[in-house]
Amino acid sequence: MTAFARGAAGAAMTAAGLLTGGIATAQEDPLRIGLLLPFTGQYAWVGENVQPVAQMIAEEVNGSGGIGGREITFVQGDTEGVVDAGTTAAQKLINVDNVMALVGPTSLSFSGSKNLIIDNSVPMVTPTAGTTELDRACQDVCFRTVPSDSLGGKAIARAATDAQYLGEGARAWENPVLMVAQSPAMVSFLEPIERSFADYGVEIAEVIEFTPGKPSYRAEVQEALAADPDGIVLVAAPEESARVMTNAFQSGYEGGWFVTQDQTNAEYIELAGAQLVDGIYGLEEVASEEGQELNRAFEERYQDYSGEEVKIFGTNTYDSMNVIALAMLSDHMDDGEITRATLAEHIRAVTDPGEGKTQVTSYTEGKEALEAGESIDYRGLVGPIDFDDWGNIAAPFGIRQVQDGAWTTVSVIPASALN
Amino acid sequence: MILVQTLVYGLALGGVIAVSAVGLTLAYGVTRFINFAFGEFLTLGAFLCLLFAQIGLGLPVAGLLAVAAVGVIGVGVARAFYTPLMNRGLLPLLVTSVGVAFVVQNLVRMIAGSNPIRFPVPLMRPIEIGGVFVPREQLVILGVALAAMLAVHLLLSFTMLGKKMRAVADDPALARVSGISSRRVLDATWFVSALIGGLGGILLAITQITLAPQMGWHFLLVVFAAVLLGGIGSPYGAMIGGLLIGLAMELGATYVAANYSYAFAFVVLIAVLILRPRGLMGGRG
Repeated sequence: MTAFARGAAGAAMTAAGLLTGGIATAQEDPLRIGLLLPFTGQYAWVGENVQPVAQMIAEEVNGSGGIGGREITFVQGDTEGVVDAGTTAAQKLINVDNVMALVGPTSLSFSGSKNLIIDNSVPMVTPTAGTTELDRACQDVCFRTVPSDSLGGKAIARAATDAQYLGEGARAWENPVLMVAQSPAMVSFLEPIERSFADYGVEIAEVIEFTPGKPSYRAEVQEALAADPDGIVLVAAPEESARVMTNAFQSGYEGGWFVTQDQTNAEYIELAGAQLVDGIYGLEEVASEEGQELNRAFEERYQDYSGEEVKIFGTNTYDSMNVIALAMLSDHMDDGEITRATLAEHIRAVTDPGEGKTQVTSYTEGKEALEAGESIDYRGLVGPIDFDDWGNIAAPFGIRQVQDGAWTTVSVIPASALN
Repeated sequence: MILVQTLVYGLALGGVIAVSAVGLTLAYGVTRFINFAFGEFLTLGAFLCLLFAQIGLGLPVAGLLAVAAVGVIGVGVARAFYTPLMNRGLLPLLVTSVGVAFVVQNLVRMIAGSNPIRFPVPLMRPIEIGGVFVPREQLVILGVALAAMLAVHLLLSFTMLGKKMRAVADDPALARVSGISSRRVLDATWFVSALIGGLGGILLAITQITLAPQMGWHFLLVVFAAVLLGGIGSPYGAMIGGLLIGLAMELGATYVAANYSYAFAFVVLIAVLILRPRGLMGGRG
């Protein structure tokens, strides 16, 4: 299939998603969950990746009788991947659609929706926002099932400076350069990466911030290569990343590259070209050791459900939706009502570890335990989902490398190694 | 060494800007209005070239077909949207051209999708000459840009069509009295302008590697700067303006701050316009 055909098919899927997602089922008083994500624009793929997984869990909930007889429905809030549209979408979801909880936002639009979320006490469990802005944003209603960029930055520095994580025969970097695009989602990585390299005893030779959207980055690449780096950490959207890497290749650069989760996928190899990305390292969140079996089961289930493979943020979305649905059920079983104000407390109630709690890994398991009068501790695909006081989780990271035109995991950095 | 390296980069970028600016200024010279949808001709050139390449044609053939197709589209757009408004003043034309730009941009988005797509230019290591890396594709860009500018020069100076275009540009009423069909000249002008825009788009695609539906719209700003710098309506001015803007952007990015390369284009533009308000080649005000 050509890139055009794939693109046209993607556009059609987005349009179909917009139509179906915006229409609540003919059920009285459904429990509305807002999908505060980009569904159009450069980051439309985020919404496309998240929505089917969320829908799969909603169908599991609704198929088992709903929550107190009420079905879960979704309302899309298209952030377009930008702050302004994100604010408008959050405003509508929270004040017009009266959603009970949010799946989202992304790092791209969090700053625009933050105050609305906090002021209206709407619990958000985002599967996509790694931004460091969320590290200490709010204690009551903000949760995420994706690790912070602080941890991601640390994982990159740890791997780049420790050869055991780079695969056989690889050498640790001694003179790295950091190139970061000046957009909120990318700059979020800057400080953690810079600090972490220093913590691991390697000073970054040059930090270069660059403007997204330029036709070429030759001047920036020239500046980077002047530092004679043995590796470049590149934090940018796929489009800019491909340009920077191409310009560096065309300028004779032969050193290593380390990219973030945005590029650690097959689509980036296609965009940049297999020749260009051969041997580069990438970062991805991986399942904890205990969660690997669960992940395989999830992958099979999702394949059966959608006919597609799990994409980036798929596992995080599975955990976000299970947490929200179980919290809703727990809230309902508490006093027969579900409100925004009490839902956040129940998110903690179903995820906090504790003695005597029953560990569950899905909505159905959790429902059975709750109905049996047990307290539950949800254990997710990305890890134990034990939120800290600010709603953050710890998770292991996989270090991947492009080998023979495909991403291959060369090592896993356990969450404990990043403390 | 860094200076020479930067000049190489600046000339290649300047070539892309210059070609695009010539297309825009040619249409202005004859029609007297700035076509804000010109950036979409660049986008169409790049995407059509990609489409033809994807169906198996070699890149040069795909490029030729794409620019010809964009030329035809340019005539169609002009006949459908601009010609009926030619006697209604400048404002309706300007607003219409902005509208056309958004319609074309969104059509491309609808068909090709929002995600960036790689332009199928082969990845090549640079040629090293005395410590200076010269990217091979930049040599191609520069060569094509110079050939295109030479072709425009030959068209304007030595062909009957070029003479008619210049006659209509200088005095449409006199040209009409002299028996020149302004409709045919207009069609030819739109064809050549859009065709050159399509070529500029392909060169831009080679430069930036990835394609996106808004690529031409974003690039239009520096093309405008080149047109104004050279003197609006002057093709030769646009050529010089484009090269200067490209050099200014790369020199500024290397020696002052890489983040403000677009700003350097406008610093040069403002400085020149203060000294020569009608631009370097004294275009039409």
